[in-house]
Amino acid sequence: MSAKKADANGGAALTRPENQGAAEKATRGTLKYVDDQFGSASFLKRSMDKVFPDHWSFMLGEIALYSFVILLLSGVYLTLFFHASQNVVQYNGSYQPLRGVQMTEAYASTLHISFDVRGGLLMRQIHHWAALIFVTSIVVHMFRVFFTGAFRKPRTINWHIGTILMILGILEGFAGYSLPDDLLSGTGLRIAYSVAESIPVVGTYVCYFLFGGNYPGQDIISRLFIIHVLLVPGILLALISAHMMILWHQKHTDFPGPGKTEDNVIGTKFYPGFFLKTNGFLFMVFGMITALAAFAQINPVWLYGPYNAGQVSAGSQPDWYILFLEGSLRMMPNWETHIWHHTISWNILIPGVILPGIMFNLLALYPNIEAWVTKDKAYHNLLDRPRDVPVRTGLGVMSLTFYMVLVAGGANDILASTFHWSLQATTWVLRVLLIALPPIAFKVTKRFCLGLQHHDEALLHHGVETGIIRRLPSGAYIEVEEPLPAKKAETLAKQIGYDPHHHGDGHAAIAAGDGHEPAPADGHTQTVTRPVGVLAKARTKLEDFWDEPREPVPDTQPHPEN
Amino acid sequence: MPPPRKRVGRRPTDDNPATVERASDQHILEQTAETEEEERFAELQVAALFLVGTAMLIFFIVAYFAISIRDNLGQYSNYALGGSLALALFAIGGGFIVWAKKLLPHEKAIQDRHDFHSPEAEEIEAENTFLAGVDDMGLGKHKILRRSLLGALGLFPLPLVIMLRDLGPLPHRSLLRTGWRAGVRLVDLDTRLPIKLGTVEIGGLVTVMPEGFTDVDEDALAPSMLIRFGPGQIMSKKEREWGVADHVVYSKICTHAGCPISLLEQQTHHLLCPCHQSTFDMVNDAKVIFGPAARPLPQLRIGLDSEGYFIAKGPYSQAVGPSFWERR
Repeated sequence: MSAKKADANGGAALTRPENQGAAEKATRGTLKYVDDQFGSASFLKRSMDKVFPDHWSFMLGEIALYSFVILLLSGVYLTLFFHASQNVVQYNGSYQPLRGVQMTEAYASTLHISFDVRGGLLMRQIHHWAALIFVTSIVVHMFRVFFTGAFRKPRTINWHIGTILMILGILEGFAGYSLPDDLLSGTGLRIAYSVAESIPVVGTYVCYFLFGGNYPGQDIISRLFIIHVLLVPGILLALISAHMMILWHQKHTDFPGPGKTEDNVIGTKFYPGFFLKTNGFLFMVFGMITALAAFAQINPVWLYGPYNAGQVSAGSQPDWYILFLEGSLRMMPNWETHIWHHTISWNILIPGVILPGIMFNLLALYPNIEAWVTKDKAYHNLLDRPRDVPVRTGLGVMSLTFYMVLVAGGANDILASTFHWSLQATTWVLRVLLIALPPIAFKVTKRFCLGLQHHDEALLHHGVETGIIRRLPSGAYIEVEEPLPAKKAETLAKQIGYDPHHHGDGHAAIAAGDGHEPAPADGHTQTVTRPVGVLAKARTKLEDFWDEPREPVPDTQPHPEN
Repeated sequence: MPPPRKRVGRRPTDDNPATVERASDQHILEQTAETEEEERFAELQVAALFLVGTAMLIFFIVAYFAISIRDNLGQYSNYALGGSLALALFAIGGGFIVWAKKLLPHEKAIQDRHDFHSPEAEEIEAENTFLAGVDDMGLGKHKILRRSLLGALGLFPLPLVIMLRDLGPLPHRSLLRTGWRAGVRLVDLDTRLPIKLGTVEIGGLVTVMPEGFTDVDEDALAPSMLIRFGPGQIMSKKEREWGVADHVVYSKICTHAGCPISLLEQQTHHLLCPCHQSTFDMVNDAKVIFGPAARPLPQLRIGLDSEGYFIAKGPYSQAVGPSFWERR
């Protein structure tokens, strides 16, 4: 404690203090021991001094990270008791209703964990809740990154890694959900098998190799187990490490604000402030998941019974992140082609393979597409507000709308029975909405964004309405408007992309995609040469669409000074 | 000078930033601290939270041994263990956060960002070094070297892929096999007993399997439905002829995604798949009338043996379950 700020003066020759207490001596000794071997002191110093910006939305990724830690811990515990085997045994555990029933060892050991291992049920529920929160927080974290443009250069590759993490998270969740071999998970596996089977030419081979024969085979549980506990978590761990190291190296983005520029970070130092807070947050996330596991029952597999190819429970819904696939399968028209003694079942291939393929690829490549359209090659460390980039925000809401209709489709039977609608009508309405709603969502969102921008510009130009009415010498009445406080105006100007030093000329500096360089006043990029080729023409068209100039704020009122 | 409270960790305020000190590229913009009284109170708060955490952890250990998981399906044990662990974690986490917010100096730091790309000279040097290496290796010059290398490296993954071959058998004929063959009796899936003519009520549906079924492989495609309709209700001539006295048997495995179908509407004779709501008209050759399924459910030809039990007259005449490439 005594030498806390000893190195504050940087250059001056530093010596270790004479009288060190035992604790200080031990700490310095350890640090020196490590430094002697790795030369780690300068890295350590830099890391501890690293500044992290503060905003609540930056904690979403932390939730994902910490729920992953919890998944690893609880998962290891579960593997100590789980038997990944499809050997049929007779259940003799303490859950009375299923005693004497033939079932696979996988299901029997899941019952054993739930009813005969103290704290086993808690661990199972912690693991399942953590999985849901893991995927959910990844998705919400992605919303934040998308709508604020945090994926722009230089963070594009990290967005790609993040997308892969999300997809792997979904696969990992599905694999884990299938392991207990209960009736519900067996139905999910059966559908997954059919989806793989629908792939032309190789489908049945993929299935036979994965399942070790025709469905259900004898191998899928033990193979899924090793995929679930070793292969995917290993890849997840490696990619999460890469994700974090890139974040660390590049420093976190931040929202515009007083004193904040593209070239600085303002916030809390990693050590001790951020370190203490984020560890506290780790415990809070763990606590929240444990509380859910204690009081909110999840996946009570004993109620479903063991898997049986001849049975299914009605109204069975998968975990939420699979629902969109379930919805696309349900909404798809029943197309199937028979040619040359072969069958292509579009009714599964399109909703189960092609559609998710397109969706995930678009999601992953969005930063590259946006950069290509806007010709934006600049670095971005300051975030956009969604309203300031209407086309991106519109596209995001449009995609979300499409996704949400798919999710609703995954619950069409529940919707129909809850509201007493006809199931067929519900499905047809959803089919129409899937096509019609997204473009409307785009238009409305863009309009909203432009309206909000308009409001901001009015605030900046005219200030706040005071409610004070004054009469001018000419006889006209005006309402006195008070300019925004300087700092607020500065933040707002930055957010909407005005260069504060060039007042007046500036819509659409942001539209040019770069807060740094001055943009052409009309918001259009001046193209000197005519674009050649279909792609180049399309690009110019898209760029015009992106950069559609903002309407200037009409100067309807005379200013009181005049 | 009592500093303003509740500023810690928040977004930068409107205060005038004043540089306090400079160390490396990071320095403190502003720094304030709580008064001593406030600090003492915060210290007590943090300590109290940590004590609650400790107490809850002890409670957890006691509950682990004291509360039986035989009671109420283990729910009491779950509430006690989960509740105490959650409270302990909340308390410890809360302690950390209060500690960070109230006992650390309130400071706002600023740090420069550096360009991510290297100076251009360095970039060019790296490119040059890399290309010079390519030159040194002669990859451009020695065509035969390049091609043979591509050949070797290109084939390298093949052994690894080929070794996956024994993961499972090849599909071929087994895609069509179901365990149904001529003369085999229909047995109830649950009771495993054969079914006699006249034991199923009109409008009744029994899930049937081939007699002697086991729980594996082809049996997953075998589940079928024996349905008895009222006289004259079956519209299709072929359907009537393949059945016996208004009893017909259809595959239970949906032709869409393979779920077992179960919901028969008595009035309309429509059969609904619970997974994706494909609907089949069961008195009309199980034709698809709604939903994503493309094909009718296959029908099994049935007859009666000498004792009056239902038997299959042969295997299914087409592949059962979802479509696949090899299906004709």
